[in-house]
Amino acid sequence: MAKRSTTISNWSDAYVATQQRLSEPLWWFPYPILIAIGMVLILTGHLVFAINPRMGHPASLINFPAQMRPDSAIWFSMTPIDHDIVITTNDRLIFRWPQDLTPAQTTQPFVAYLRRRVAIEIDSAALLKRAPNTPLTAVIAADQRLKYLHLRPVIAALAEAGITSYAFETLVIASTKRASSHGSSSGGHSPE
Amino acid sequence: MMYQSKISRTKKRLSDDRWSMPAVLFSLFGLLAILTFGLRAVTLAAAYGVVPLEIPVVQAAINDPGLHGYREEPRISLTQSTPAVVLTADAFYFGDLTAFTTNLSGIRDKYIIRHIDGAPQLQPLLEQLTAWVRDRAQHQNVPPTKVLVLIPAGDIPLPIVTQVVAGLRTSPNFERVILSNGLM
Repeated sequence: MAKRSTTISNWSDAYVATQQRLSEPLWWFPYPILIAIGMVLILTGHLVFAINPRMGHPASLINFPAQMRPDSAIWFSMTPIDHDIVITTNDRLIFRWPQDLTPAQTTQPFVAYLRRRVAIEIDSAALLKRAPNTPLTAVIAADQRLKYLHLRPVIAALAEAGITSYAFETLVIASTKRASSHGSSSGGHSPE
Repeated sequence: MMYQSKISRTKKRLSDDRWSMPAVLFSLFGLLAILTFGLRAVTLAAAYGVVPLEIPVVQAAINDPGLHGYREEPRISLTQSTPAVVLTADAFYFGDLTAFTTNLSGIRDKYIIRHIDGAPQLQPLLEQLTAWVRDRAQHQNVPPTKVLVLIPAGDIPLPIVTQVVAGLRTSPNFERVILSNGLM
């Protein structure tokens, strides 16, 4: 009984203390919502304007001062993940096949995708009434861990899709860009 | 007594939980600046370059008798005398396409440049290759072509293949490089 009265007394003390505390203005109250608004502003700004299109593509490129790509291209990345070759395209499609065994049927969905992209590029060029100076190029962002035998099915798929020009993408860091003697222009390009 | 009074004032000051407005604003903008910098660093696109390659095609010209009479002509053709470079884990081998196709077992039409400590010797390869192409043009009447076939072994890492292709393309003698599927 005595214990119960002590508990009630504690509760009533806590109630009185809270009542006193809440009778004064709480100056900290608006600031958490300002933090949330700031986060939303920053994230929205990045999502709308400045997202690196290569985010989400896990390929680790080599640093090499290669020339910049002048025209649009079909872009995709190649990465070895869990004994598989994983290809992610710039429109977020994923193709996957085993590293060691690659029958021709395995790459058929990728060939179909490449054919579809070629048709889209041709349609776009026709609608723009503009013929590109360079042939349609497939830019491959190949991971550094890959070996040449992993690339062979991709080259075969490109040939089957009628793409005769392809290129390896490299990362041009600032020092190598300055040292490069054959870089044609400054600035990067997007995979679009 | 004076110390007790001071302690009492300090306790009273610290028991007031009102936040200082300038400190709150300063820390808020500091937090936003750090977040902006971090997100920008993560999402900013870097500069990217490409090392171009080509896939040869078979000539299949389509007649265009109607409108313009357009006719396709190949600019460069692969022939038996087209230079070819084989890249293995031990060395570069170079010669013409015949040396690595119909006459693969021949020993007098291939040249070797060994890697030093596993590093491919690209500059000596370019020098020897250029000298060989020039000598062939002068003495064997083989016209120089601007195309080269590179045949890497399957276990060569792709970064090495990329850099070898880029190095070969720096030579004015080889504007186009074709990657082969390999030796059968």
